[in-house]
Amino acid sequence: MSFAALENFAVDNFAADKFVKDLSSKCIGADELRLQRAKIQELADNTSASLKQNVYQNYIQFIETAKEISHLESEMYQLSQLLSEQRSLLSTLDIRRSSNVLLQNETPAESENVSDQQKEDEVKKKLTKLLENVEGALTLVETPGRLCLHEGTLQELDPIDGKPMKKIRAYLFNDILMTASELPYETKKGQPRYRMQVVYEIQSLAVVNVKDRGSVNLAFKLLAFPDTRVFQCSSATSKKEWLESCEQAKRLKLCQGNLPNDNNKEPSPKLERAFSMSMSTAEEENHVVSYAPLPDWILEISESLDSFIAQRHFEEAYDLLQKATSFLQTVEASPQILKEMQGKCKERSNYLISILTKELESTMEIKSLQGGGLRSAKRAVKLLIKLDRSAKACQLFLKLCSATLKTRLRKIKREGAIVHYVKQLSAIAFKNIAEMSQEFFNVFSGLPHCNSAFAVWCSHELKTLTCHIIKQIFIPQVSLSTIVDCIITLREDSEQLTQIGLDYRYQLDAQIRAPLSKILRETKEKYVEAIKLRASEENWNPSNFQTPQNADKVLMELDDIGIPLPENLIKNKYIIPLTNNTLTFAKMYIGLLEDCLNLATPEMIVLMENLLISILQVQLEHFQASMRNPKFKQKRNLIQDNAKYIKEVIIARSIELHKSVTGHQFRNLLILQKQFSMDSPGSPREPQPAPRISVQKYSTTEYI
Amino acid sequence: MSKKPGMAQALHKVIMVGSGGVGKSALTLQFMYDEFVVDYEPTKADSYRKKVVLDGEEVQIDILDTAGQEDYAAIRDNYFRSGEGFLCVFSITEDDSFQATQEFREQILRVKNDENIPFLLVGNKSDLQDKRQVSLAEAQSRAQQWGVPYVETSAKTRENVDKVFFDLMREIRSRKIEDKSASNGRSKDRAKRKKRKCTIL
Repeated sequence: MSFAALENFAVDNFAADKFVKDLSSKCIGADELRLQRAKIQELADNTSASLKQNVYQNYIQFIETAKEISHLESEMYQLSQLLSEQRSLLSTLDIRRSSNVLLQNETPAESENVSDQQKEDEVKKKLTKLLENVEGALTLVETPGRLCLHEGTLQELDPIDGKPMKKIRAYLFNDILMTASELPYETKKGQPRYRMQVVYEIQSLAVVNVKDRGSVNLAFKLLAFPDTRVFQCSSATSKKEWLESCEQAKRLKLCQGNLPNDNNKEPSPKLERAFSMSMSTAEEENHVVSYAPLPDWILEISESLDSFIAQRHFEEAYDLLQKATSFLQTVEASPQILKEMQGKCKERSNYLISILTKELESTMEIKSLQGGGLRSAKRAVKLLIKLDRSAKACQLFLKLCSATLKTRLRKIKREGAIVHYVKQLSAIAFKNIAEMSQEFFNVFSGLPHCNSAFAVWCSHELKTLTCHIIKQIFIPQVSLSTIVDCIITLREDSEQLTQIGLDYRYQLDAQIRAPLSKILRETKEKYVEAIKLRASEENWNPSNFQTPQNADKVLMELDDIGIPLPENLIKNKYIIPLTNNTLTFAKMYIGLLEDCLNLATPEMIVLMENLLISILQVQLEHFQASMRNPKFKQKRNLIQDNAKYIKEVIIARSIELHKSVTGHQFRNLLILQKQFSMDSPGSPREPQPAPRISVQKYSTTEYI
Repeated sequence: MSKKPGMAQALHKVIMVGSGGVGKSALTLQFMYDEFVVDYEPTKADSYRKKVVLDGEEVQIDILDTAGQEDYAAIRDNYFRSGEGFLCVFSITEDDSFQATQEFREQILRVKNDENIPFLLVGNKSDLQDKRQVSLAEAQSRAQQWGVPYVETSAKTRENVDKVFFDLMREIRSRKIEDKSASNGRSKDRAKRKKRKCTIL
């Protein structure tokens, strides 16, 4: 029925009145109508629930999509940056190479037209032109993006004795080095012909600078197992050019392989200078550079930093960054390069920060599983501080502390007595917080603005802890004395923090005030009920302990808790003139008093006093009622003894204890003591209601 | 086809390995030219050759001074392959460089595939005793574990500089004599080929 109805609703010209009419016409009697109504109602509920569900899911999807989009956006941005950097790099290479080739073909006019927009096939064409005189080298043109960085004629030497062997032509590309031997015949245009010999991969070619003084001059060595080849250059500049080009090719390759966003630094200063190269002799003129080139270490700073970071030598990376920053401030170089280098340093420094942040975050995740120490994180935190990110470092460090603390607390099992659990919890929590504070002040020394963050963190952690403990202890199954025990433990443990200047006591008291008030009210009701119950069962018999030993034991007990039986009430060795009820009440009341006084805070004391007075009043009313009760006419002496005991010993003791803890008189109790009298049943005097009134007189504000 | 004296000379190829800044180049330059370079400039890869008299016999030593850090493993392996003996250098003032020797040793053994490759563990900068981080005992025990000699040098005072190169050359020489007796035929072949090249020239 309901599903069919659902389809009806979806119809365009759905008329509610008609639908209801149709529906009701089919129904016989009120019951069936009610059933229909319930069905429709259910349908409506379901629909609204699923509508809510759908809205929620759409919302979730929307958020996820938005996240995804922002993620993609940043990726696209990175990509475009990478691409533009690569393009500028390639064009730099291209300009250099094309000027090389063009000069070789004696058409220097064209070199001016060389621009960034050179197309792939143009590059290829030039490569083909370059290699057309080399037999067997045509396949090399096929590799896309291949560029010639350097070429020239070299004299090959015997690697063992250094004797000249033959002339070879060497071509250095961005990814390979190719050697070709000279052929005896020439091309039609009169240019020399070559035959390709070997191709070496740049990544595996070891280039060695031969530094002999004497027999072999101007040479360099190629180590590509099993070949060892020695080549002699025609001049010192030529040798330098070859070594630099090889190094550059290697670095380029490294950049492309590992860090595509890294620019090559070499070409920029070289770009501006003219490139002249006479092909027949493969000799080059000295180049005029307008300013002193920057030292290698600063040019290679990105690589060095990246390798430091990759190897997790963060300290070294930081030192290098510092060195570079101070160097760039003092060095004289073209502003463009300087700016570029500074940008690079900044970029790397940000990268380092993000790596350190990630490092800390991942430590946090691991730590939350393992609960390890904070020592490992200290390194990253210290570096972040050095990098001027103390706020971030502080935040991450405290998060890490939270995670560690949480894990450590989670390890504590809830077994056996609740007091034991809470004691452990509190001991471990406060000990850890104290330790963490020490670590914190160690790491963040000299950064006073972080201290407040720590104080807030502490307070937050302790609030969470207290909340947790409150949930554990303020439940009906836990007695007041246990709660008192737990709270005292917490207070004692929190003392540790006063050493570092954090007084948590006030916050703790504030947090437990509400549940404690509630529990006190409940306790009052419980006690009053218990007293009334015992009163109804009272037979007014002195306690007979059968043997003097048993009686002595009870007397000792009373003595111990400070409410000894006055000598004049002791009549014989095994009977104590106090009823069982009175004895129980005395012990219970002193216990309750002690619990209350243990928890006493200025805010709570009024409530506690109230509680104590009320309970006592109930008991005293019981005495007075018994006195008036004709049933107990014979036992009035006993009743009076009991009342006297309560009045003179219990109340006195209570006042004494109260004063020793709070430092002032328990005024309401004093009044109660004074006003309480055990008149003979003859006089119908009611006990004074004064205490109750005076309790109300005690407003909290007046107290404070 | 007269036999030139240079041809007969033995050539011993020595490779300097170790972390950056431990003094590989300083040791090499001290040995080569009796000079101590104060300024530090990272080496890419330099090779040197020198004629020396080893126990009365004139030989040539070929020293390949490598970079402390090489980006491509294949290139590093090519350096190692070309060597006949290794001076594995660390600085006694830098524990990290000492720890790095383990890595170098493993790489060399892997590339050369030879447990008994001539090899010396060299603790350089012995003049800086007050900054020592690696104890003599520590280094000696590692050398003992590898079965190689340990020598402490100072490129600055030239202490033991000649000793490490000559000790290594002696090891290389005795190793070559062993190898020759093991495979006599092949070495003859090589000699023949050299002679032919000379006639062409």
